[in-house]
Amino acid sequence: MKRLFCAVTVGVSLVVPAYAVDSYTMDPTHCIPVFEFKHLELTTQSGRFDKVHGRVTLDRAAHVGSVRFEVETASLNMGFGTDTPNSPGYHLFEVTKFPTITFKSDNLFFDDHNNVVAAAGQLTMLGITKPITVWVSRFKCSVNPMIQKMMCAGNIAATVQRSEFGLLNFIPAISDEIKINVPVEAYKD
Amino acid sequence: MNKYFVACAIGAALAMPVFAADTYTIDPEYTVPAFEVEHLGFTTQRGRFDKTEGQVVLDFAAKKGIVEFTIYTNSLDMGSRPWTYHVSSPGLFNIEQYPTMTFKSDKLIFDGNKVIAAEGQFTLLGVTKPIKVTVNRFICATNPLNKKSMCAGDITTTIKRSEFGMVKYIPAVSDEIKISVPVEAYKN
Repeated sequence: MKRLFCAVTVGVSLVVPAYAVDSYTMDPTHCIPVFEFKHLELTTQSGRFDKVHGRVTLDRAAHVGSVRFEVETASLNMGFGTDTPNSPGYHLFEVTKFPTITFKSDNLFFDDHNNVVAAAGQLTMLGITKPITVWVSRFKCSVNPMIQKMMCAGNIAATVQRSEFGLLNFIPAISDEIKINVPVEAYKD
Repeated sequence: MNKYFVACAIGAALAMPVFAADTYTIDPEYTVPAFEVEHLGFTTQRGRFDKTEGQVVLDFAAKKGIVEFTIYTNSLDMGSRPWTYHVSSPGLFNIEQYPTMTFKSDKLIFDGNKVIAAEGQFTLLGVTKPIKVTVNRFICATNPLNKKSMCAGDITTTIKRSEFGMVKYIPAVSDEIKISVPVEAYKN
């Protein structure tokens, strides 16, 4: 029995890789996506989604990982102070019909220092799924000194043509091209 | 009588400069200031003020102008209510004691007919300091949707909040703050 236990233990430890996969949960307060568009080709206006959820898995040594990120479209916040279910943005994003925008990736790119520099994945918006690649800048894993918890963080940037997702209203008065910025701070589970 | 009228009309026309100074009123819905801070050296976090008002005077012939811009601090919106409350409190924007931030400039810098920068006074937490803002993509045109004459541009600047006495959480939350303000202003 003891020998069997030892054998099983050795067997298990051989199966476990030297570097395990860690999972991280995003801190929604510090992961608020901002999008920028050109208004009448004049100014750069921006909007925001205030409610998100997300998880990340990382095996930095093996250069593999995944991202699951979900945005609640009803949390759209344009700054007008009048964002209601009847405001134009809610119609544009069809928030009742499509309550979420999601990004999924199982294809992360790492640099020589095992830092994530990009993620290729699928963006789903208005029910349409397209491949997109997002850039990750200033990726860093370390302890948040304020609360002594391990976290990984980075700044995500992407550009999409909204027409590819069927979001056609007001082009070109409101630009087709949308720049997206998402700070991500995710704590180790 | 007719001759008198003509003389008057010519007199009035001569008195009027070819390019007059015009006053523009900022459209608050499209003039929403955003700011960026660095959080613990990890991420770039953003906040926004949703209520502003302001006027711009432009005289292209004289290459002169004036900007008066007010931000209402109680319109701060960080994306979640607890965070907004926290950033509004004494030590940070202290919105009850300081309900407004202002930027005033009477020194606009022109490149031809484009405004490219403005030097002025920024008042935050009751402290006034000179700052320079950059104006990108400045343009005056007719808004094709409402046929009204407007001037617009994207304003950017960087300040050190410590210079205005806002020192809490430095360096966990960066001293340096990047500010960007799209400005759309309609001719009065």
